[in-house]
Amino acid sequence: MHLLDWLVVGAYLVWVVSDGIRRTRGTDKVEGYFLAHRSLPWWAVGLSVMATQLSAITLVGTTGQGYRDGMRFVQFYFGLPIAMLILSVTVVPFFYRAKVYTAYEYLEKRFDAKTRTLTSALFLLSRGLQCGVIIAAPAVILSIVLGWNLTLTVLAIGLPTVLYTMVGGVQAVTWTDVKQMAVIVAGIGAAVVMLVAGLPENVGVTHALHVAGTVGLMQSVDFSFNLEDTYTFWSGMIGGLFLMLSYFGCDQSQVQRYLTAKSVEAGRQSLLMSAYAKIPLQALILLTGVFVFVYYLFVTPPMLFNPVHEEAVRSGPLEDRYAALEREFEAAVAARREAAYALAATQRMNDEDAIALARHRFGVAEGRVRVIRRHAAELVREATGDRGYNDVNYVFPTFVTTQLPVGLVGLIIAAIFAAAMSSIAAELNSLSTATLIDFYRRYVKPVASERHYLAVSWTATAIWGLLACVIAVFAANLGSLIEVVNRFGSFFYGSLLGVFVLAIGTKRATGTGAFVGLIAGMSAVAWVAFSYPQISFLWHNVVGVVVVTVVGMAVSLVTPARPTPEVVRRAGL
Amino acid sequence: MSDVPERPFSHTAIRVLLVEALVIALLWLSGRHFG
Repeated sequence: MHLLDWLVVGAYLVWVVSDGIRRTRGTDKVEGYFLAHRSLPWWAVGLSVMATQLSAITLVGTTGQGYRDGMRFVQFYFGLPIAMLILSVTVVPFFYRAKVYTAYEYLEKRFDAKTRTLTSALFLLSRGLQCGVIIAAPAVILSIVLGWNLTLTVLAIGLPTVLYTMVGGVQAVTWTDVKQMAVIVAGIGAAVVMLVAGLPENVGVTHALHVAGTVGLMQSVDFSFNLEDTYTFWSGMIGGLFLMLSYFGCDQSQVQRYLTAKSVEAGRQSLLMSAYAKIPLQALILLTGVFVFVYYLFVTPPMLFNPVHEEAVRSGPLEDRYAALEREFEAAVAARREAAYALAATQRMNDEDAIALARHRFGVAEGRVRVIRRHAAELVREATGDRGYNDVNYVFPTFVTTQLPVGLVGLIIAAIFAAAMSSIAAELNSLSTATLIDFYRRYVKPVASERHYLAVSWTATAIWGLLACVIAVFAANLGSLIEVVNRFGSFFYGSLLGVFVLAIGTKRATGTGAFVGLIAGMSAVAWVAFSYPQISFLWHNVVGVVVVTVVGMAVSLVTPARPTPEVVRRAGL
Repeated sequence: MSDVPERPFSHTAIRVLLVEALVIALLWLSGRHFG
């Protein structure tokens, strides 16, 4: 990386960390440290909600998916606007009026201590591990693409985030999120401008999109109903709706964002910002990937985008087969380039037959390139033993570091850092909150000075942060661990939503009903996941909600203890 | 005091749903047009 790029990344880090650690106004009280005294404007909270959701792996993984599969991943977010509307009239006013610090604290007011403790413990376990994965994923990619030391990359992402989150609390998280969103959008915008500017002289933007559309990359909406496909209209609308309800309504890393808003209305508005902007933003990120695809039609791409794995094959016994494939690849890419030029040229004419023929030729040429890439990936799997190998996450960083001019490389690396750090900061802050409020203050020391609780909060943030860095270094070397961690989250999410449906949706549900329902829901999701692995994980959330609600209500009806009027009042029902 | 004006939530909900329907329609149409 050029010196100027290092300076850009360094300037970004100094800017964000110094801004974060200056945000100490009102953080001498627990409420100020964790909830900013419920004083933040809706737009800052809204940007923080978006920045928390958009992790680095979303940024580089989604552009890679745009390159490989086109726009269809956008359907994953179709349930989000409806989820935000539902949450705006349910959990936002309930949590706000109950004056809670954590979503799980509300469950004790509504049910009992055991339900609160179980849900908060599951959150800590799941999010604690995931925080490590969120650091590991971009660290692995950046260390491979830029040749950086992996441990140092983990520390470069993790330590500054721990520092400002620990010192500034939720205000540091929110205001740095605002800046980080600006860096992310600037980075994506710069990449799109460069990609469009990099098109050949006689290929316009609409020609480029037509060429991408020829091989299906512009197909965004698929109305077929298929439980095995994650990316259809119905999977996104139904499965995605439940996932988003769980994530934004029950996950402390998001709940804490809107608890800092200055009113119920401001909390609602902050969620509605995502309802309006999330799908267009994701579409833009995917479109960036589609433009990278078009760019590499006219500039020869690497056969594989992961240089470390490529080198492992080159220097091993499969070297000759790989070299032969590379020769085939070069010829196929040249043929595809000619077909792309021909297709763009015929589109300028108005000859339908010529266009149809050119589209067919381009489709065949692209199919050939894909087959060769698939064979190359198989060689990597054979050589490295990594059965899950694919290089989709390396496409965008490779494009950035090899094709963009000095300065912009630094901006986009800073954007990847920003995406990672904004998610990590929110998670560390929420992990610290749940540790203090749901465990330390609840069980260890119910009465203590603000100063004491703040010292515990700082310590908890630091410990969770360092633990995340350690997990990140190990997770980086264990691909399967990342999958296990993500799967664990999916077992838990829908079931947790079911508990909140019982809490807010009905006065009759009891603590024991919710507790038994939660365990039944998680067991049911685990059974479905292992017995029917072909069913997309998005549907696990639906299974979790339904089982928890049905079992929870059934147990509640046979449980003698009904909620007392005091419980109903405390929970704002 | 809120920093945003109060308005009936049903109006907001309809607006969000209309914007979403419009965005999905645009995505679908772009797939048809360029595909």
